[in-house]
Amino acid sequence: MGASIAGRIALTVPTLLLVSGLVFSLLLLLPGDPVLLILGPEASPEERQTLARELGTDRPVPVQYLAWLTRALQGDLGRSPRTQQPVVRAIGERLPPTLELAGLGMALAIAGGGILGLAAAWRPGSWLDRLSLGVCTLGVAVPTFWLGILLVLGLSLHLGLVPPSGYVPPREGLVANLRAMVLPAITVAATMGAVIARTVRASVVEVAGETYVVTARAKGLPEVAVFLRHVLRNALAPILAVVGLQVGRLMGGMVITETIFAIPGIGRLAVDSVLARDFLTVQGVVLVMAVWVLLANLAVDVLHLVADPRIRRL
Amino acid sequence: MRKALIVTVLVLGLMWTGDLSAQQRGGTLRVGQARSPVSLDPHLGVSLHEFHVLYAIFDGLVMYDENLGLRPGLAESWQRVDSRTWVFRLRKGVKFHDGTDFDAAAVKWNVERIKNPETRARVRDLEVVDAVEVVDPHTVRFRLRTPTGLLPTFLAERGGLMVSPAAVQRLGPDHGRQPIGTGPYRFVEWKADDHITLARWEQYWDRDAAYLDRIVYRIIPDESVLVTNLRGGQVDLVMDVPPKDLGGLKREGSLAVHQRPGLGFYWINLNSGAPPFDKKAVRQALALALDRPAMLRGLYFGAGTPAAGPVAPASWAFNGALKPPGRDLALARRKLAEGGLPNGFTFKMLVGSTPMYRTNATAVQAQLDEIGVKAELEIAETVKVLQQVVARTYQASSTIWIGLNPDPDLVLHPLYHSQGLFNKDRYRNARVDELLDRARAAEGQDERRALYRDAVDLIVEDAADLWLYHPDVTAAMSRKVRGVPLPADGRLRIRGAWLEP
Repeated sequence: MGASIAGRIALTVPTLLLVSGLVFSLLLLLPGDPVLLILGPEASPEERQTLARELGTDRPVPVQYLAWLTRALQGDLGRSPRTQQPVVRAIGERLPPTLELAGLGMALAIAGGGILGLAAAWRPGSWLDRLSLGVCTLGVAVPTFWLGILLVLGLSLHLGLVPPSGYVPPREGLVANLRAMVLPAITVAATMGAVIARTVRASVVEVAGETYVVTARAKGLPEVAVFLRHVLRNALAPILAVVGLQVGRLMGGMVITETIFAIPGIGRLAVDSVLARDFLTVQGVVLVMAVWVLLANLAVDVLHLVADPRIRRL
Repeated sequence: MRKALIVTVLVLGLMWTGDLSAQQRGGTLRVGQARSPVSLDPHLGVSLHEFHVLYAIFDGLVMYDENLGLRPGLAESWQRVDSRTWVFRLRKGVKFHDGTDFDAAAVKWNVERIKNPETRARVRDLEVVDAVEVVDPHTVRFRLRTPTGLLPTFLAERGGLMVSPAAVQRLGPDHGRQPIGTGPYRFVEWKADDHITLARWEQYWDRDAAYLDRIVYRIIPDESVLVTNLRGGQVDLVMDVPPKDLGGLKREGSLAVHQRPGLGFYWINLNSGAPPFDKKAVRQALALALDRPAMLRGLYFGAGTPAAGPVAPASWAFNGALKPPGRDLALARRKLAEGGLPNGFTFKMLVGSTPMYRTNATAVQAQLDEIGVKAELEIAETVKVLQQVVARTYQASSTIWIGLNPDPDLVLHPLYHSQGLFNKDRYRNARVDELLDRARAAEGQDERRALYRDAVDLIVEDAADLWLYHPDVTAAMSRKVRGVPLPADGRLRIRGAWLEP
């Protein structure tokens, strides 16, 4: 088991290299010259040339990439030519809110999706099952930005339960922090929770029909023990896989939620930087996101190994 | 009748108490804005909304009054010695927020910093300055390359905002993140994409400028959520209110909405240096095919003025007698024929990614279609549009001209002088060049007004571009916020602002 995990970790290094190289070349395909954006249309050709030389954008792409990589390996992601800020600091400032939002959203989605899915699987075809299906269809279908605005108008402006937007760091008060995070976490969790719920239901219903479950019941095991020991444990593998996928997807959807709720996170930094052709910052953010997805996949793999002894023997 | 009288008296009474109640010291003003500044170094940024923050931290050598007239700032007085020499007398005893002195050497250092190509300042106005000389610690002399009466105006813009030389030398590129000026409020904290906090500068030279304890600028990127924050009382003031929300906010009793004609315009920039727009009759045909009032009503909720030309109603050079051309399709078709294109033509219009650019472009496209002119819209990143406009490889583009200042030179020269910063190889009219040159060198406003009106008449007659409408500048605020004027440039002037307890 240890060797298997070590192998997976070793694989992350070439993956990261591949991702960073790919993103670097993708960025160069984007129309628009960062030099023009920094200097403005009124700059003379000489001024543009000087800046291009300084930024290194006049050199061949592989040379640019290698230069970036060498410095990145030393922990230096450069200084954004747009904001004059070091990229590492820009990302560091914005990572905590994004991680908190991701964590809370995920917890909510797993808890909510789990309960909803199990409720539906308890008696397939019952009114509870149909209700769960309805809720899940809504959860998947409703666009994030619409749900977010609706929550702001309903729960904040009309009912005044929580602030409409903004981020309060936990060290300035945990209660205020959580109050501000309620609506964004629900928004993030909606789609994710719905997908998880459907997976839980499908997986549990399938396992519940297996012969060994019937056998367990026939032995006279209490319902709770049948469920916990035989059904849930065997149903877990596909559920884990789906949760892992959702965690990876989470980062992509984060930008909308961060924009609506004015959370100073990494998604907004990514979009602002792409629009401003701030390639250094985009590179840095993508690197962080790639690490996030790889870690999520790794975590799921490890959990699989723990949950399913059969894989361990392979 | 008696009821009306009583109401009137009551209202008047309220207005009186409002005017007479003394300014209160203290409190925190929470400003909401959709866009975050990129840099708070006044010489490095470009975005207009950055002024909402910059004017609190920095003083100009020259400042604007509420009608955008010039008044003393860090310079107490100035004088044009000859056509190329100006002398500025500086206020004494002014300190930067880092405790260093503001003096003539600091002014010289600032101007040289802006002019140094390595700084990469986007302040082009000061290229006209040849040298700054320190006469004594409180007097500087500006020597100009070319004669201009506009130097004080330039020094009320970014180029006149004085940064602390010591701070810039100490902080280097980080100065844009922790700016040091001489303004009524000093920088406290900037949490990226979240908020910027300023606090009163206790040693400020004008005690009547800084009443608030603190100002917090909260960045709320989604416009609907921004407006919700204002309605819910989580922020006190929002500049640049989305036009669609103006109506709703005006109905809120707790809020005051300010709105007045602005200086900029939405326009279709025509490349008159290349076919088909090198023909005057063709451009005139397009101008006649547009229903500007309908566009303003339908696309911008009526929050503006239909445009007759590039000079806005808020400018002192505006000519009220000049009206936007009415829609006349028959005449437009005749003009097309006159231009040698009786069956219309197809052209490509570049459209930046801002939603308003797209909305305007689509409306123009539909209206031109009726005279047989097909506009193919090419939606692109604003950078790409900019690139093609600079390279002159475009035919037309849908964009906005942001009016900075009521001085007409600042729109007419860059756009319509053959040597203008944004015009090279595009629009050419020798007579316009001559009028603009003469106006630039001229002394009095009356003389200049006459010259500019003549130039605008020619530019409009030439239909150099399609000017659509001038958007209003707006601000919405809680009724507790007092002393915040809204000049036509739409920038937030926080000096003198106070909060009713």
